[in-house]
Amino acid sequence: MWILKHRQMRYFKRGIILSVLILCAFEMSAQRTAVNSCTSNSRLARYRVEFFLTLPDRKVFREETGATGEKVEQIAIVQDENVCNSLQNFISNNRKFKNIDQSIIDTDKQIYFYKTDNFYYVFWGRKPEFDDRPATGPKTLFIVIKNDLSQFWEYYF
Amino acid sequence: MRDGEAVTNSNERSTNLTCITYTMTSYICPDPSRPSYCVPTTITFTDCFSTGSTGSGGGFGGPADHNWQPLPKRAIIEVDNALDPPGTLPSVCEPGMVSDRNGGCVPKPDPCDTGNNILDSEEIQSDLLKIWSGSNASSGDIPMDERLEQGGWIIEINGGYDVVFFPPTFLRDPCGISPPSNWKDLIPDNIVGYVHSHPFYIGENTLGPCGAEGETSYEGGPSDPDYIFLMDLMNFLGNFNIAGYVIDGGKIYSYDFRYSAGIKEYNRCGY
Repeated sequence: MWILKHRQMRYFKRGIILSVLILCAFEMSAQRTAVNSCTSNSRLARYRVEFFLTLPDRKVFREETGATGEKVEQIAIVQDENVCNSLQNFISNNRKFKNIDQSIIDTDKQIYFYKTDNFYYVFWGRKPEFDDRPATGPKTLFIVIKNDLSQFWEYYF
Repeated sequence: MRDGEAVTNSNERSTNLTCITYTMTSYICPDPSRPSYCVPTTITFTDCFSTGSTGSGGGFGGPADHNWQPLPKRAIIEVDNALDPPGTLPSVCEPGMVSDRNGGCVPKPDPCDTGNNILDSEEIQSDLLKIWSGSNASSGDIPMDERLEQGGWIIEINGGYDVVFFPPTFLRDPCGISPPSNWKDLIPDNIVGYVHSHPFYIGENTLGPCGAEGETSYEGGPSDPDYIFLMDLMNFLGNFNIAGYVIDGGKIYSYDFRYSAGIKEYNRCGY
């Protein structure tokens, strides 16, 4: 009788430990998914970075930021999870940027993180699935950030 | 005389007649699409109605028959299915005034004399007025979330220009026009440009209607999305002579393949 109870207790303990382990595994997996802030490339969104780097009347802004040496060929969507998370934290720690980011939840827009060799470019635009149909609209925020996140500049283009 | 007939009819139904003489200024428009060609015409007519003896409620003695009256010009030229909300009719305005689309009249805007062939076209100016009226931004007092971007394709036709308004499948809000996925199939032939409104005035805070990424002080001018729209349009058609136009509460802006480097500003005119 005593042996049976002891065995039952042992199975019960093993069951609990196994459940806890499974829960932990799920939790870690969920966290890993949740913290990946990278977003996919958009053909139309990428043009905004290209405009910043090439349009003659934006030379003054390139000089202001020190981005005069950045090239169109360097433009790429940020894919490094750590960088995306850092940029997302940067956005979340700024009240204005955080407001924008929260205001587009459940809309056709998303945040974009692009980069060149020495800068990141953050802005909000329509999701890549709308790349087949450009939309008009007034100017919106375009943020240029030094790649060590030490400095940033806000423009409306 | 038809008004004489009306009196005769009235006499048949009533012994007491009251007659009122109306003087009405109307406009005859040989070409309804060109309002400046309308000719003012003053017409005097008399309506008579019975006063009490028939017991029929004192209505007009004869059947109303005003077919001979020319239609007021605004009733002809300002009805535009693309922009007028269903169930509304524009008001009839005095000479020198135009409907504000809200039941009132506002002074007729200055005509364009910009040196830009498209903007200086009377047809285009009439279309700009329709676009701006449809934007519901005739004054800064109108709540911004009640305004709409409006626009259309500019085409060359019969040696002149015209606007083919974007169909209803182009979704509008105060901060953008979003075309349907088949938008390229809807581009008319002979396109030379596209025009749309930003229904704001310089300095307005657009954070409300445009969301948190809007401007705290509207700057005016075309935006990156406007350039990207033009770029996609030009690339699709293989035509890099197409121009973009933005109209807002303060100015008209034109731009081309040089995007922001090719912007030209014009004083507001035609709307």
